[in-house]
Amino acid sequence: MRSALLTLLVAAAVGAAVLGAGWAVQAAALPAPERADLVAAHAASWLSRYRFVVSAFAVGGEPAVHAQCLQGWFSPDGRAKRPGMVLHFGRHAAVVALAGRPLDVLAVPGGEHARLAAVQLALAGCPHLVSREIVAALDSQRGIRSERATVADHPAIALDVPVEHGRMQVYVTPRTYRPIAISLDLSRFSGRGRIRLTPLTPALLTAFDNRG
Amino acid sequence: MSADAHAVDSASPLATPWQWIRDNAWIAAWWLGGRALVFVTALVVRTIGVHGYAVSNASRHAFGLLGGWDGIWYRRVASDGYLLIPGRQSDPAFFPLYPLLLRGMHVLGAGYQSAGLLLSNLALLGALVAVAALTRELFGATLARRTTVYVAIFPLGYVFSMAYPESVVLGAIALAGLAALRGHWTAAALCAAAAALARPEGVFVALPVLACAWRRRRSMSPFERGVALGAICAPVAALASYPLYLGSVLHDPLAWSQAERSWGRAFSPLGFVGTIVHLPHAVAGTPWLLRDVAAFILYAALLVAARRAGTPPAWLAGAVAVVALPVFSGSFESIGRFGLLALPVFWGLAWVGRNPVADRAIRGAAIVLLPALTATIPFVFP
Repeated sequence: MRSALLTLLVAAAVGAAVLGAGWAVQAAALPAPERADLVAAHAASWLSRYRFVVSAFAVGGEPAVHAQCLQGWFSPDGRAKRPGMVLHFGRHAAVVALAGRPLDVLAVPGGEHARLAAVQLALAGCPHLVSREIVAALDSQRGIRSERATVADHPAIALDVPVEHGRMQVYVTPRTYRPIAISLDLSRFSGRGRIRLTPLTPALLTAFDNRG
Repeated sequence: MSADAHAVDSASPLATPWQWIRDNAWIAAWWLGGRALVFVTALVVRTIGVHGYAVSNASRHAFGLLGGWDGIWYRRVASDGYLLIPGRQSDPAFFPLYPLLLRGMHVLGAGYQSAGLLLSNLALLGALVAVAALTRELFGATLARRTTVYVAIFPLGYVFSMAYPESVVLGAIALAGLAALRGHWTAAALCAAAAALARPEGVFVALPVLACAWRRRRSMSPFERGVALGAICAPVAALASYPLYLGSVLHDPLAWSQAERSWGRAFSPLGFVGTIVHLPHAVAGTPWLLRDVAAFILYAALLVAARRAGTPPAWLAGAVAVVALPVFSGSFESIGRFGLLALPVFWGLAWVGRNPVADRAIRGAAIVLLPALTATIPFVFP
């Protein structure tokens, strides 16, 4: 009995030593990721888990508008479904962004610049779009930076993500790194948006469809 | 067991180092010959400029061909550490021992690319010596010699010269098996742990270590039995240290399996059904996949031969796991490379080569196929 116990104790000690040494060597010798990259990866991970975002955004000096962005498969004009996103904002306006098609802006008198529509999609926190910018910056090691910030008087982390023609700041909660706000500063447009990643329910989907 | 298996010819413990070197010089000669074929082919590919390779970054290094594909990921881990990028292929799919060794050599002054090539090729020489010693103890000198020669010139063995961890893992597996056979349990634990920390397949070396410990259980003291049991657990513990580390730096201990999913791999008990059902479609998209399907069939046949050669069941079970498990992850992709870590495949081949005509045919085919497959590197990852 005692010899069996000794055998088990020694085996456990060897196993624990290997486990501990394995971890310690990795921790001591491999560089840890930059904090900003880590936070950005978590933010992208949050965005990849949601298809629906409720937001309020303002472009330039315009008043803020409420918005909802849904990501999924849509059938333009009753034809074959395509992946993409639809943003409803303001009273009746909408931006439809489907793979392989130009941006479609609906119910805006006189239409609007495609670049502005893209800015609205980003400020509304359309998850695929924002996640794609973060991941592209991480992938190309373009140097994401992070700094302390506040959003509506709550502490947050601001991720400075380089994007084409400007910069995007994604604000995340300091503990879970969940994205809560976005600001964009491009050559022609700038703006800010508060976003809430929202689990999509059948009721929300019906309400969204009824708007469109 | 074959006739060879009884012709045990273990080296004399009183042999001097010089005598040992003279006795094993043939291993270095075959290593040198095999690697010369690979490196000369890499130079030829660079010179004639195949498939856009000539304008790629890799061609800046004389042997850049051998540093490509996963070698780039291993260098990235060595220089920058791990980062899981959701929905993208990212580096937690690559186990840490090889990048750790690269980093060590880089600290000593070598560039990452050169460090990888130096490390892999020197590790192969060590692995050949270990394979020869292990095979000699299991099967005798004749089969050991053929096995070692076949490993040195195996057609898919060009991977051993790439900045990949395969040669390090092969050496660690052979040394762990050898140490267990000789009852050196601490060494067995260290080598088995190294194998599992470099490639997940390394964990299966626990099976032959377990078999050796079980055979010797009555002759060991309780303390020795504990160390032996620890050696069996060591590869599992080393494997577990990786998610533990990922959990501590990425806050996600499952980052490895998440990254694997982005590489198109996810284990499932019925995964082989999907792999086989989707094979025609996969081959239509990537005809190179036929190379891995052929390797899978060859390995399966060689494992049958290895069984007939008298390979210990624990080694066979480990080899079957190494060759068959990837099929459960959804693809035949890279099985040709994974199977290089199944030592019984080479024992089976050496058993087939017991006939001198077969032996000459195998060597001849290998010498032709090794450079031919090396030249495919710009087109397809191993």
